[in-house]
Amino acid sequence: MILSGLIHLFLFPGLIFAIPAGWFFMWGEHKAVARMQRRIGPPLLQPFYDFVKLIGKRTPHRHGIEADLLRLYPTVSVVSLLGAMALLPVSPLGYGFSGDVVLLFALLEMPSICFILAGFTSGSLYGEIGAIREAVLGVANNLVFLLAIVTLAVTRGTFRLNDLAQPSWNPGHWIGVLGIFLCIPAKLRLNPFSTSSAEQEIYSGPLTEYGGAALAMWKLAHGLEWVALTGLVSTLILPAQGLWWLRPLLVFALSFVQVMVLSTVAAATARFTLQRSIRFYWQWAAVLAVLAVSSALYMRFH
Amino acid sequence: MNIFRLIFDNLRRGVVSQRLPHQHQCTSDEYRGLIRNDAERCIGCAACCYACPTGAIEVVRSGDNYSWSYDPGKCTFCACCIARCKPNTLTMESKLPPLYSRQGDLRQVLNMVRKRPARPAVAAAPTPAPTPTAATTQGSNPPPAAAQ
Amino acid sequence: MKFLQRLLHKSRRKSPWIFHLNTGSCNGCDIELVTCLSPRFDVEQIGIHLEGSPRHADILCVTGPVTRNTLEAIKTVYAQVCEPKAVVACGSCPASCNVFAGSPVIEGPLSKHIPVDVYVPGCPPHPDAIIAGIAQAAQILADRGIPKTAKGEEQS
Repeated sequence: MILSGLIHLFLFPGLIFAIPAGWFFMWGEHKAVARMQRRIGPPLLQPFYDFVKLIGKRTPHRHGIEADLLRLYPTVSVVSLLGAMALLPVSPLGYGFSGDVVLLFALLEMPSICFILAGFTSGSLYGEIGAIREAVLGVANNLVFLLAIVTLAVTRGTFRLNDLAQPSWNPGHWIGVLGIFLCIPAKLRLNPFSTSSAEQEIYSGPLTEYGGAALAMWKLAHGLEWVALTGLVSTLILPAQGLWWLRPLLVFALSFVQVMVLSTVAAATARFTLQRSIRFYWQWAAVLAVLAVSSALYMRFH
Repeated sequence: MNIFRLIFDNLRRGVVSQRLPHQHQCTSDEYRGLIRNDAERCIGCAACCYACPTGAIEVVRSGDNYSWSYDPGKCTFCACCIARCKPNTLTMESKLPPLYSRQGDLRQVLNMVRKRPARPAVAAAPTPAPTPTAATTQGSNPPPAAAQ
Repeated sequence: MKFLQRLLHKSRRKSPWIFHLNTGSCNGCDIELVTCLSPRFDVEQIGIHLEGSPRHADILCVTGPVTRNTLEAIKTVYAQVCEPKAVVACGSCPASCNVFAGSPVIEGPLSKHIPVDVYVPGCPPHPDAIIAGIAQAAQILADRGIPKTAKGEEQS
C-alpha cells in the first residue's frame, strides 16, 4: 500500500513521469501552434533546455520585496501539482492512492492561488493587474469546475476517483467531463482566456518580477498543469478494463489529443477581455447548475 | 469559421520558414551592403565625404597624399556617396555586412596619392578671345534673376 | 560535474531569450527585429523567444541612438537582466548615433553606458544579420558563464 503510493508519487504518474510529460506537452503545444502558422517551431528538447538555462541564472538581490516568499509560491505550485498527478486514477484497479475528487480539485487550485499571491507580493503594478485578472477569472471558471464535479458526483453517487474513473453512459457523467474540459483553457491561461498573463500587454503579469530558478519552477508548474488537467479528463473518459499497461498508454495518448485540440483553439482565437471571459463561464455555469440540480432531483426520486 | 479553414489550409500548404542555421545569403543583387572604393581609380575629389549625411566617409588630405576612410558603423546605406562619385569608383556590395564586437572594427582606410591628369604638350600660342562690344546691349534689360 | 557544466553551456546556447529595448529608434530596426519572429524567418527554431519582462531574458537587443529620456530606462533594464547576459546593438544607431550624432538630446553611442557584445551593422539590418547576431551573443554568454578554471571560484 505504502510502496504503491510511493510509486504513484515519485515514479508513475508522479515525478519521474510527470516532468518529462509536462515538457513534452509544452513542446507539443508550441509545435502545433507553429505549424498552424506555417512556421517550423521549437525542437523537441526546447523546454528542457529552457529549464536548465533558467536554473543556471543568477538573480540580483532586490530590497523591498520578500524574495523568500516569492520563491515559495512556485515551489508550492509544483509540489501540489505533483500530488495531484499522484492522485490521478490512471490505473484504477486498486493501485495507488484512492483519493477523492475534492482533494484533487484543491490541489489543482493551488497553482492559481499561488499565481495570484505572487502577483500581489511582487510589488509591481503589472503583477497586481495580472493577479486581479487571474482572481476574477478564477472565480468564474472555478464555479464551472465545481458544478461539473458536483454533477459527476451526484450522477455517480460517489466522490472517489477510482469509482468515477469507471466510465458510464450516464449523460450526467459526460456533462461533468465536458465542464471540466471547458475550464482547462482558463486554468492554463491559454487563448482565449490568457488575459491574466498577457505578454506585452502587462509585461507578463504576475511573473514580471521573477527570474532564474523561480521562473523555471513556474514553467515547470505550467507543464505539470497541462498533464494533470488533461490527464484528469482522459482518466474519466477511458474504460478501465484491459491490460495493465494499455490504460496508461491510452490516457497519455488521449491527453496528447486534448493538447492538440486546445492548441488549435489557442491558435485560432484572440484574447478575450475579462468581461467576455466571465460571461462565457457564467452562461455555461447556468446550464450546468440546472443540469446538476435536475439530475440530483432525478436521482432522489428515482 | 474562416479561421479554422485558414488553419487547415496552413497545415496543408506546409512550412514557409527557412531552416536555421543556413549558409546561403538570401540577399538580392540590389541589396545595399558595404561601400567599396577602387583605390586605382579614386581621384580624391572628396565628393563622397561631402555627400555623406552621417560622416561615415572621411577624406584627410596632406599635400598629394590623402586617406579615404569608411566606417560601416556610421553608415546608413543611403548611397548618396555613390550618386555623387564622379569617376564612379564607389560600389556597393550585395551581401550582408559582417557582425563585429567593438566599435570601429570594420573601419577601412585607404591611403592614396592624388593622380594628376597628364597635360598635353603646348603646340601654338592661344588666339585672343573676342572682346564684348557695346552693340550687344540694347535698352535697359532687367538684371538676370538670381539662381534659385 | 563536467557533464553538468557542458549541459548548462549547451542549454544557454540553445535557449537565448531576448528583450527588445527601443532607445529612441526610428522603428526601422524594430520592425526588422520582430520580422525575425514571423513565419518567414522563425527564430523559434533555435530557441529564441521574445520575452515580456527583462528579468526573463538573457540577451538585450537594443535599437536606437540613446536619447536623454531613455538613459534611466537603459540602466534600469540592464540591471534587471539576470546574469549571465549579453547585449546586442542592432543597427548603426547604437553604434555611432548615425545621422543624429552631435544632437543635444542624444547621449552618445550605447557603449558609453552599458557594455555591448555584438554590433549588427545595417540601417536597418537584415533579419538574417540580426539572427546571426543573437546566435553569436548566445555563444558569448554561454562562454561567459563557464567558471574560471584557475583559482577563481566563480560559479556559473
